[in-house]
Amino acid sequence: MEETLEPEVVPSRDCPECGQPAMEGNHPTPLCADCRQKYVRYPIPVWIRIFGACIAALVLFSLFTFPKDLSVGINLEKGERAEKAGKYLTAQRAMEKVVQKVPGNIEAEGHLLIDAVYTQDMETFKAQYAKLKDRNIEDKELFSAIEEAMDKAGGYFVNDSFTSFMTAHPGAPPSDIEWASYFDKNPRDFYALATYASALNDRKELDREDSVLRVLLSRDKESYIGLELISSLLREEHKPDEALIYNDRLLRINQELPYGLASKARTLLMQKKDREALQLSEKACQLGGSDDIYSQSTLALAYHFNQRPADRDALIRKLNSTIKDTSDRGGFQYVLDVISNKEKFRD
Amino acid sequence: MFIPGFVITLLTFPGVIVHELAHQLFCRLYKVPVFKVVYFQMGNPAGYVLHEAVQNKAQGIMISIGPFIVNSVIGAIISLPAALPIFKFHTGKPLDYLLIYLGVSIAMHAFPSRGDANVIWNSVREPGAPLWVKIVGYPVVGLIYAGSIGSFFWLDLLYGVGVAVGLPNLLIAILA
Repeated sequence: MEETLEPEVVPSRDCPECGQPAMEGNHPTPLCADCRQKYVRYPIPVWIRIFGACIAALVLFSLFTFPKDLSVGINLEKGERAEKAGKYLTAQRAMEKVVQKVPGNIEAEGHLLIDAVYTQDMETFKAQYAKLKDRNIEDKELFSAIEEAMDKAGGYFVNDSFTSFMTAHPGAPPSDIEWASYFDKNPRDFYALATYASALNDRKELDREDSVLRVLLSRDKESYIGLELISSLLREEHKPDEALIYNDRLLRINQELPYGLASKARTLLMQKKDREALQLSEKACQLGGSDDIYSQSTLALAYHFNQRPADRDALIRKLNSTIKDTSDRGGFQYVLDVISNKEKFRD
Repeated sequence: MFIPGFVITLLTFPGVIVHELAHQLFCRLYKVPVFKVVYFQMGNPAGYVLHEAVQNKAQGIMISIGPFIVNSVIGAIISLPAALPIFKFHTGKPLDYLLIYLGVSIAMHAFPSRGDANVIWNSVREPGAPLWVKIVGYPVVGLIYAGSIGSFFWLDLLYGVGVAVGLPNLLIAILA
């Protein structure tokens, strides 16, 4: 609060403090220059100075420490927003930064686990699971989102029952009767269903593969592996319009899934939408990085159909020197066969 | 819940001191003689600055609303690094709680008092006060009175919490 001292009615314009003549000018209080200056610089007590210095020190401390917290807060907010928008790669990168700076933060650790499931980063998922399994998560919304993600992750892991089932057939693959018996006992083993669908694809029993995948998708509408396999199957059956529906379903769940983007790019190439396909495959490579052979192979295919042979050949040379894994080699060989017209990809 | 005003004032004394110090520093800035300063007391008002009547209306208004600026800015800055660990990351340490307490205490005393409002009121009503001073002054006085009445409904505390806690979260929402 402030109070003003009203102009005094003084008999003379002499300074009441020292008797010297008051300063010239329209000042309400007649004070000489020295006394006026003394009151302008009214002393601040030592304890207030110390108090002020402490407050100033805290202000400086806050100004120096806040940027770090601000950057963590921004990343947490960015991560949560990206997660809501289905941009799980962006979300995961943001959450990794938060966890790095605020280790043990349950909110960020939990979101990182969820993001890792949707980006299919199983290493991060396992690490996060190990960190969180004994922690008490009070946030009910986060807890239920983690539970949902954990349930989904079950579809990506080989469980003990399936391992026993497969090891019981070391020489030859299980027969259809044995698969059926396994599914009777384990109806929610989505990983096994997808494996069976792949086995049917290898046997070129595409109709049956289609049926198995539709069963899988009826049980888990958001099954990544189911959506990935069915879009690939439909392309194999030269049904790009149908494949595109499943591509879009997958990308609605995760807009930044490199496999999903590359798969859609291949569907678009089949529909002869080459420019759009090239853009998508470039985005897939950007998100997937140099280790993502499927996206890189798709980009080579997109270069091919966009009449960019130099870029295509340079990429093929690079891939030839980097691919070591036999499963990657098989997928890449398919692209080479399309380019060399050994395999018919589109009309 | 009714909590006597003196308890609130006692609990948030740092804000009162900063408020009075801000008045005094604005007086010093505009070379206005100060005759008495009470930084804190257990009474009503909890603190005050007695200074010469200010001839320049704009300077008078600035001296009156100076604490609003100073308390708000200091309250916000002090609580910035603490609000996020406490309310966003849930990893607050004792120092963070101390900073939040100081931030809220200081920011909640940002509102000019009714005494400050009276000074502005008298300034703007004086004959010869420039039009722009009236245009700025009347709403300011109105707001101060509203704030003063609102303090009965914890408006000052709400403002303090808003500055100390809401602002950092708002910053993040804007920058993210």
